[in-house]
Amino acid sequence: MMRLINTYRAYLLISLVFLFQCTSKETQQDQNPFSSLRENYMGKLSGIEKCMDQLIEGNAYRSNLSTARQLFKEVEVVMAFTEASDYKSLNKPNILIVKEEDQTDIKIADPLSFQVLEEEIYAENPDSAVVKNSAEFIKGRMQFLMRNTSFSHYKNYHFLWMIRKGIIRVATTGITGFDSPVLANSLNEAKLVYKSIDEMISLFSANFKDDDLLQQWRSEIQATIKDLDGDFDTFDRFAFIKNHTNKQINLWNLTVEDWQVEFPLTLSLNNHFASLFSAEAFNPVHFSDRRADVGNQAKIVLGRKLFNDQSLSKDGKMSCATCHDKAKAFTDGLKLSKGQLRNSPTLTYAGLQKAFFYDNRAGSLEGQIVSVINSETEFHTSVEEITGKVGSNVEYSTAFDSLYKDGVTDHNIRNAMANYIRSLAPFNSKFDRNIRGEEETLTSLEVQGFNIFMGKGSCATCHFPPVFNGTVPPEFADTEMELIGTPETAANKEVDDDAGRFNIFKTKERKFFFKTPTVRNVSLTAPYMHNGVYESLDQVMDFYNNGGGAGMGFNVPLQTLPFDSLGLTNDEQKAVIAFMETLTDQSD
Amino acid sequence: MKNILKFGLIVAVIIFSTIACNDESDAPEPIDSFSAISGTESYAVPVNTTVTVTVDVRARGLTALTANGDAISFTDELEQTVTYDFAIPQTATVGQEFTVKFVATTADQTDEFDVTVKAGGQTSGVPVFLQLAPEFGDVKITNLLTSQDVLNASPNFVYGSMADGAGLLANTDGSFTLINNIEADFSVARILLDEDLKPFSGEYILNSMATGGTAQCSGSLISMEEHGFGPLYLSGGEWTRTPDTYAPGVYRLDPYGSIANASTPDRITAMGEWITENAVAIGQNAYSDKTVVFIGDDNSDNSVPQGQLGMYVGNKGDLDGGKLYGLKVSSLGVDWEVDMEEGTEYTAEFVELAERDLSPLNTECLDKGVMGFSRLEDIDWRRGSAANEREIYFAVTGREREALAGRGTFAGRIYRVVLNENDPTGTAKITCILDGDKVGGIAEGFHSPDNILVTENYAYIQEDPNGITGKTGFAKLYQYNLNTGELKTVLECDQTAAAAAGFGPDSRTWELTGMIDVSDVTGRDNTFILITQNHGWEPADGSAFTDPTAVSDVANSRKEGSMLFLVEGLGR
Repeated sequence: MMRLINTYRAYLLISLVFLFQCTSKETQQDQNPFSSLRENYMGKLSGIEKCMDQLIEGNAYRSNLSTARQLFKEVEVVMAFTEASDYKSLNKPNILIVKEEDQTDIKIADPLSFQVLEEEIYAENPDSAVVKNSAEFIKGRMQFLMRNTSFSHYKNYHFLWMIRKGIIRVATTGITGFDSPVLANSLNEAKLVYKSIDEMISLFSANFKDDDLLQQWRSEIQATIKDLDGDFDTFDRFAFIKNHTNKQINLWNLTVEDWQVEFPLTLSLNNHFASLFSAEAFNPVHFSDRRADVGNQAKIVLGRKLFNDQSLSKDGKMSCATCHDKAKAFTDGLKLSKGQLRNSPTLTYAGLQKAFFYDNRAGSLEGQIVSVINSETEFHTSVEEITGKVGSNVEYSTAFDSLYKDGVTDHNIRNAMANYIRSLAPFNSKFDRNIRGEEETLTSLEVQGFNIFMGKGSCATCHFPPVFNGTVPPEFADTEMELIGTPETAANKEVDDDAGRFNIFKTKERKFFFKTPTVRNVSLTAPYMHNGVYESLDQVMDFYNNGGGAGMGFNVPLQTLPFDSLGLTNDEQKAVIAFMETLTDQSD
Repeated sequence: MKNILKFGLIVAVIIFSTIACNDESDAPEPIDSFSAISGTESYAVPVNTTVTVTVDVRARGLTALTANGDAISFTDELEQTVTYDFAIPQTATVGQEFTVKFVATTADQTDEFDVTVKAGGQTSGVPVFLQLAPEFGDVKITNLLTSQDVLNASPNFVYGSMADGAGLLANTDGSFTLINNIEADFSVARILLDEDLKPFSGEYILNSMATGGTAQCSGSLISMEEHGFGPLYLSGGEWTRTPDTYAPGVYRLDPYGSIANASTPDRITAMGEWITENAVAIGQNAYSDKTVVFIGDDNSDNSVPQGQLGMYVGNKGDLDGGKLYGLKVSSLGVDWEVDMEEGTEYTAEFVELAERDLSPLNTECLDKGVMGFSRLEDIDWRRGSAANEREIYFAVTGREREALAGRGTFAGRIYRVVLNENDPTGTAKITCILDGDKVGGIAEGFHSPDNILVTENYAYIQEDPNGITGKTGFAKLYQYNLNTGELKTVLECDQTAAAAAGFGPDSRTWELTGMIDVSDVTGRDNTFILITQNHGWEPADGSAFTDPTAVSDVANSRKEGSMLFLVEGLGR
């Protein structure tokens, strides 16, 4: 989620002491490495607890927060895996939390987290009650974790998952300022994460058959830490990901081989891939509805045919392609699609989301299709009618019979279409090819644009790499919504009256919230925003640089975008646009 | 506030006996002896209450009348009524007895009469807003405790928001201990009841600090009587105050644990991080050497139902060293829960699960084809025999979403699982016994059945209406006859009357929950506890029905109240 405050930046100097453990393999083997890992983890949790005690007492706010935050980053890799929800909760931005479970079950709460502490403690007059509240909560969680974290069921594959998630987290959110909005201390914190990864690997050093591989890890981590020395605004994130993240993923793959680890499960990311910026990184099962029916080329072809078939709509004149034209990256180039209230979104990379429609009202592509079928202004038919039409078409029914055990059914029709949409994520843009190291064709302006997008411009704190949409890495379990205050007209006079998510449950705290879409293929998808208000990316950049709707004086106090200017120069804005234009997929 | 409760007349009678009472003459009676006849001698009264003890004295020639040594004024009348105010001290313990000793003295004799006053509980003055169906008109319902009541023995205790799962234990001194989850305060309360089941005092034995703001939903007791070990209390940790994060799972509590440990949580790792509505250990007779615990996963996915039925199997009494399983329906053609038709039996198996953390565990279940239900809620097992104890019933509350059509229940369902006779992990049978979506079906009236209690002959099903299209009315309690399949409505929340009396708006439907059968533990047949979560009923002054020892940040807590009822006269 976007950071709320962008004004105060102080650079903490953290002196890093790298304790490369020189313990010999023999002594390591004496103890289960998970026991050592646990011991180390517990010690740090206890350290955080002590700092919280000091904050509760009102003592030395800044230094205690700083120490606690360092420890939090040192346990990040373990905690985010063993207790993902606690990690997420403790790392929450200072933005009201709203969860709409059902019409009769809507939960709203203020976060209690390190970011709340950071914002309060660095405010002009910290409110001790606010500090105490978060500190007590964090203390309670430390006590919970110390008492209730068990490592006893973990195997080596869990350890390797932990490490790779840690690496990807740094690359995708760690270095972007995502979780250090006030102090912008992200680079130093990333060093702490790498320090912990080094310690973890050394605990498991006995697992390495190939000593050289272990040494490669060691030197790569040292080099990474060295390269993280730098200024937040000018840090070269492109080089970091290309040179370090990619390399570490490669080392990780080699380690899997060296340790002969087998993975009984696949989570959101596949267990083997070379680059995060690739289709092979994503486990389609995680992003699909019906888990058994994924990844079959024949189903994709069938889905494409259905997608383009106008006869499925009531009046026989509309297909999915009517509003999702392949030539326009599956948009329609219109401000608002015909008869619709909102702009047609790109379907490229749509499959790599966990929520659908601009208001996140559907939980899967297959589910989303039902609403389009039923909508009076769209297909205006029913799943039964479509099933009937498809079933009476010999070509379709033959295809379904051969591909699905139960032939033509409503679910199968939607699954085929969804499989086609999931296939529209080729990761073959100029940017992808460059960051994977396949070619070196990016201009310095384009690289600069990526670095601004990922840092000073804060774009990546909502448009997360590698998809540059709102699906939060490295879990890819949630697709976020934001309130940015999109205007009604390009004159930027007032906020658009489309209440967005509010319309679903009438939750006032969710008024004007919309899903964060991908910026991939953005050069083909004008006009922009949910209401198509902007014709050019220059207008879009100008909007964000001015602090969104709130920055332009609209009454949107719950805006999740910084209210103040991003402070990007014209040239910097041009650079971001140049970068975004490298995200256009090659057509096949 | 009612720190001092003026109790009505407690009447005892001291009668100066008339030896010559059959004497037909009106001659003065002799005055040479006293004889006392006792009336009711024992009363239970809340602490910190002044009781006016009233006695009738029949005497002649009184020279002194005292109560506990204090002189009481009297007259020369033959019969007179006198009173004495007695205060039960704040510090009195439940059932503690105090004697009020009346002494009457004449010239030649003295007589004494003792009235015993016990420190007891109190019931709520709030009306019962539960409308019984005519057929159940003989059922007696008492409002024991509501969030606005003050228990004299613990005047700061607040019965908090969204009371939920509960378990009752008999104490050695004749009193009872109710363990009660307070869901929206993310805590667990312990309420002491007197021998008549009237609440005496309350406190919190697990607070929101300990649970990280994780809602404690349903809960269940493990007792020596039913399980062969205990007592222990299992509590389902489900949703959280920071809403999109979880510290879910099965929490374990010592029902008699010190409140000094209220911030110290104990979550059972071996039972997995399900989004736990409840964890229920089945009876010890089901399997001779195993303890089997079922876990209800209230996962509420909007397109793929994935609330799973988890099962933990350990050696008898071992809740930590066992294995974890998920229920998979193995009958062909059953991909989704709604593929199971009401009344048809399907084959099921239990697949072992290696993961314990929330996301990997859920992924493993999906990969292994563990059946996903649309919000699996409360679970219970049938009483009465070893075979009965292997019958598991659970409620799936449902959720209405276009994408869930054809996959998960909308209006809710009740399932029965019959476990393998010899091995809990062996082949089992599953039947949807009640389907709220079935047009014209017997459960057509269902609106989100959420909680379930199973006795020997009945399942009691409690609703938590989620706002399903076409469903009307307030939350209902149903009685399902396990032998005949008959379904009856026992009662419905009467929010029209409640709203008129100032107990919340009728637009926010309450939840019925927490029903437990306390007949065996109390020795009173056909006796139950039942709870309402009175959504929308908040203190008129804008404050909150929140106990600061449960949730320290009262200002940001859930404000609404709950009510606890005693229900007598329902069949088992």
